[in-house]
Amino acid sequence: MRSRITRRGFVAGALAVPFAQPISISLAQNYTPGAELPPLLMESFSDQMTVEVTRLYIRELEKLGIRVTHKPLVFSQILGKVYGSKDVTTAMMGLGFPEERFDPDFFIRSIYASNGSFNIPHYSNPEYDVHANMQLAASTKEERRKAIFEAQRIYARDLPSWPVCTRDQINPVNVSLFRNVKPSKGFGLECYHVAPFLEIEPVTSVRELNTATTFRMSSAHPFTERSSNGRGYVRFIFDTFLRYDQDLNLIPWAAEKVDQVDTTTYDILLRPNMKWHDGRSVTIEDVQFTFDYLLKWKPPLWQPFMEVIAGSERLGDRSVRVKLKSPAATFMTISMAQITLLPKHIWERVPEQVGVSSPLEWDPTRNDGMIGSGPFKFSRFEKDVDCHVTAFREHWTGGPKLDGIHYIQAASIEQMVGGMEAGQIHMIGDGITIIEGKRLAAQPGIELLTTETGTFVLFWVDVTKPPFNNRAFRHALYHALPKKAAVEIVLGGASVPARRSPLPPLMREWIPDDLGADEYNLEVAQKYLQEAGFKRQGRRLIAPS
Amino acid sequence: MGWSRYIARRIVENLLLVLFLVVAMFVLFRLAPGDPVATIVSPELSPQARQQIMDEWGLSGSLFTQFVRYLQGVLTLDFGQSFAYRRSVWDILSEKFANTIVLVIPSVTIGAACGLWLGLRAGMSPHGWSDRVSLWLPPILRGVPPFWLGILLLMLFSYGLGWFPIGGMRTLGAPDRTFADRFLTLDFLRHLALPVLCLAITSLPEPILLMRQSVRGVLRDDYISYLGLRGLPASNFRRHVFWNSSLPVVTWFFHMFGYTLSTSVVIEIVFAWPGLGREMANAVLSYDYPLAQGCFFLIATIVIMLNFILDLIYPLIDPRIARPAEVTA
Amino acid sequence: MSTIQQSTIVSGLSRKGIAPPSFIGALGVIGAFVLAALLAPLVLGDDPFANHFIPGGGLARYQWPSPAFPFGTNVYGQDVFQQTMLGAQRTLVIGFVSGAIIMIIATLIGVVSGYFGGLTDAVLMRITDFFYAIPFLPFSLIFVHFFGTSLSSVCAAIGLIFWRTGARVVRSVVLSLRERQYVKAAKAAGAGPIWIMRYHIIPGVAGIALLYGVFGAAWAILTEATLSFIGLSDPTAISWGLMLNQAFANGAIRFAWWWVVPPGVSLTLLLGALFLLARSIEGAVDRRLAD
Repeated sequence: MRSRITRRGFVAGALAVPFAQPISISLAQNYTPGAELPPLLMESFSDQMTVEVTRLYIRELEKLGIRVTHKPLVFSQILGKVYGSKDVTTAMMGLGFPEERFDPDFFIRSIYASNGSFNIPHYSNPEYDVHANMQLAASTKEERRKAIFEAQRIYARDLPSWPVCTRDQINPVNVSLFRNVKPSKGFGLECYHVAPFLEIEPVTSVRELNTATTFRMSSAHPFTERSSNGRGYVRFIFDTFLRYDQDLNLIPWAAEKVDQVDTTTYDILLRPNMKWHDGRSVTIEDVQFTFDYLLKWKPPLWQPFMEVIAGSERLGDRSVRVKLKSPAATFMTISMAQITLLPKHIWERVPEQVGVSSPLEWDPTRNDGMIGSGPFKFSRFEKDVDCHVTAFREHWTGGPKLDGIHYIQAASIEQMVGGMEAGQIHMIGDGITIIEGKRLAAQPGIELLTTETGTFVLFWVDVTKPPFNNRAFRHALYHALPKKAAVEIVLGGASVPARRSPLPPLMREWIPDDLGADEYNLEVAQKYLQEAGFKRQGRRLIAPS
Repeated sequence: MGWSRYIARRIVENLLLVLFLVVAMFVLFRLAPGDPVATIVSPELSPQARQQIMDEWGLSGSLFTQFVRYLQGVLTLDFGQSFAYRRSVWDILSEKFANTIVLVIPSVTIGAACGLWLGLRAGMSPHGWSDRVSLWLPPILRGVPPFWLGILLLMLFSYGLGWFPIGGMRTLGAPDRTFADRFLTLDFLRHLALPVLCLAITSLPEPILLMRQSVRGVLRDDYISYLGLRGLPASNFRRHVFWNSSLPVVTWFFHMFGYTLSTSVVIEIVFAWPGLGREMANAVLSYDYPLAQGCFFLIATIVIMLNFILDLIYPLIDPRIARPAEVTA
Repeated sequence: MSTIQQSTIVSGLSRKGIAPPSFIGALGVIGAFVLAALLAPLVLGDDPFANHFIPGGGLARYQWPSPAFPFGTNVYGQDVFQQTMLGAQRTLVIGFVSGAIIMIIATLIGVVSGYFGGLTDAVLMRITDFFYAIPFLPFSLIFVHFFGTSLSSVCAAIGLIFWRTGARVVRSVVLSLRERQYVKAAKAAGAGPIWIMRYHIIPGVAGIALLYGVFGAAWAILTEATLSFIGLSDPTAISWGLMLNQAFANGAIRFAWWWVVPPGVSLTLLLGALFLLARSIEGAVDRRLAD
């Protein structure tokens, strides 16, 4: 093809050159065997904390002779790139821990199995897959544990990617106004988890709790809300079949019992005498309707816990039989704890009789559609201003001891801290660091509660791109990771170093004891580099040929 | 070319300008790197689920069909639904715009008034204290970054002395349903005080300089000397000088208004003020296209409108200026 | 610049006596920052993000100013004084580069538009109007968000907008220069447009162009600091705006005044110096144009 470069084209090209660099974020690695190792690309979130952890890591890698190009990206951009298109070389990012991930299946299978939906490292090991899939279909807990242990042993050998440390939930609470405030294990005091809010008791005449966070909720729509806060807020109003209590035990909730009949069949026994917020009774028809409706409309954000369900049928006037497409240990731990009971008399009109084409477009907060059977009633949802729920005393638990909760989305940490000092905000749910928390707790009447969670700072590696396809090289990188320094310096101690496992340390019953956390050792890293074939020439590192 | 033809031509030109901006916005947002749906979907979703969400948000179809849909929407002032809020963009815009306006108008007005006064004094009494102040104060004030000034004011008056609240538009939990609740309470005024002070200080330097220069020029004019010779009392004299020299400040006022509107974002961030600028910054950072486009469109259109209004009234204020029919544009 | 123009600016400056003290002072402040930016890496170390520790072994977090840390430390034990001095680098580079870009574009467009008139003028002025209508901060926000926060993209975003005012002013000066005797004489003598522009027009607008170059540098520095404060800057490159962004995000403004004051004062000093400088140039240019 003959191309004529016109003067305009030349000028356009020349102008594009300074722009081309920032746009093409995925630099060609230019890895050539036998030549000097080029700088590795490491992308990260741009918040100060993640950048600082990345920086600490890069300093250690430079001691080994490994040069790194650090490229922080805007949040939405890196999310789309790494979690969306799975286009990564290496990346230091955060991984949230909402209730839907409180099961080893997410970490073991979704991330590291070759067909896992979250397989960012592009890791593919058939031996690993066997155990990863077996644990999901396992019929006893012991069998499952064995499979998960085996999978982790293979992981520990391969190290396709690794977490750095966790992030504690930091909750300052005004204890002069409220007592009996006990954070949930693994989640702390935040909207993700309803359990603690049923126990909180007012001490004075202030009977409604004002909790603030800087993290944004989008909407209160049960189907479309994607933030963890928002989904937690929805669970205040709607009941689920099972629920996690404060010690993370799975307890019966709207379902009195969930029995496993065989590997793909479960029977749900509905609790009697439950009422909807508008006074009507909860019947088995609502349960049947919920399953049918969800299977019909398939809200995309519910797919992870709905797609394993094939159908349901009514058994009596209090039970429903659910059939799965294939055995899934996550049915009990995730699906039953996430699927909320929908009132038939409200949602059967949607969407045909309310003038929209799909239930996802209907706004229940403005159409009296937020009728649930949960311990709190919907009062108001004004994003950025106030999201308010009030106590539902007719709840089968007797209702909460609070009269209501104002869930305030603050614009800045300043607002939250100032609000707590002034006594207008009674609790900070999320968004504050340990250092500010400690300063706040120095005030009389304010106590600081910290909870270990499963939220990770995680280091992702694409194991198909050289030199990361070299296992010994990955081990070298792993041993250069200063987990303790990250915990001390950057997170101020409000963190736990990750173990040599994909699972967060709080899931300790699922992690073999011999997989430890304290593995930072530059000498060991050097040895692995040599084993990988890299030779040190002065200040340069030569790749193996 | 007559007056009405000139106006018609300016209207058409401005509309074309707005159209160009609208198209440029679309191009910029769609061709930018990054996955627009990253914040809406999670990677655990199946491809069908992803497609469903993209359809729902109008992100499916070829770029051309999306563009046509976008243009249609803009013409009816329908910018779609915000990804983050799940509400009509126009609803959000009108609400936030009111919050920003109530911040910008008093600030620029106060800044202009003080600047006019100081500039007038400086111009009329050379070598006096106001003249000396007007020499060194404006460049320093122009050099102070507005957001830093806001932080300093917070540090001094809110954290230090506790006279003013630390941010927001009203105390958390205060009623805000009605217009009166929102804008006519003492609580609101207390929250308004610091951001307005900050913006007023940053609006101060230009009017001082402009007024001073203009007054000096006017004082040299013959007709003013004549008034002085006639023995006019001082206050009347000052009034004549004032009205004759304030034209550059009027021009500046319109520009400053547009300028403050577009840079309100930093002040709104510092003072946690729920206004248009901050909304736009959040929308851009979270890839909330519809809302970001809507905000940008609103701000740009208002700036264009202000320039247009200035073009219209300029000849009315100063009859000495030839009508546009008589000069080349 | 020919010797005629050089001496005229200087004589313009000195018409009111000596060069006004504010001019010297402004140059001095700018020079001090340049010196700091050049020397700081050698004297203070070139890693502004190094974490420092107190003798006991713990992190030197939020330390008050002391002989070891003249401006104290921030939340990660980083030396605020070192950051302030090293931050000058990025600020000065952006200022000078953007200022130069703005000056060049404004001069080119203003001269071509003013000298040739007619269709060229109409088209170029329409383009200028278009850029005038674009609110610069929202535009830079979007531009930098999408095209990255590197130095080149920030300079590009700023350079793309701020030439507009300078272009208009340069054009109006050119319009008047075009009618001067010596230009008409040159034309009559058969000089081509390039020659006239090079030897008569451009030197005539050099003062104004320089003025808007200085303004451009000041606006560029302020815009970059604003963008950094909002969070749209490269977090691996230290700058004063980034320091303020971090201080604000960490809630440090409640107590860590030593983190908040130095970057702001530096910005104020540098920007104030640039505006003072601009004012002096403005004075000189005005006097020259009055001839």
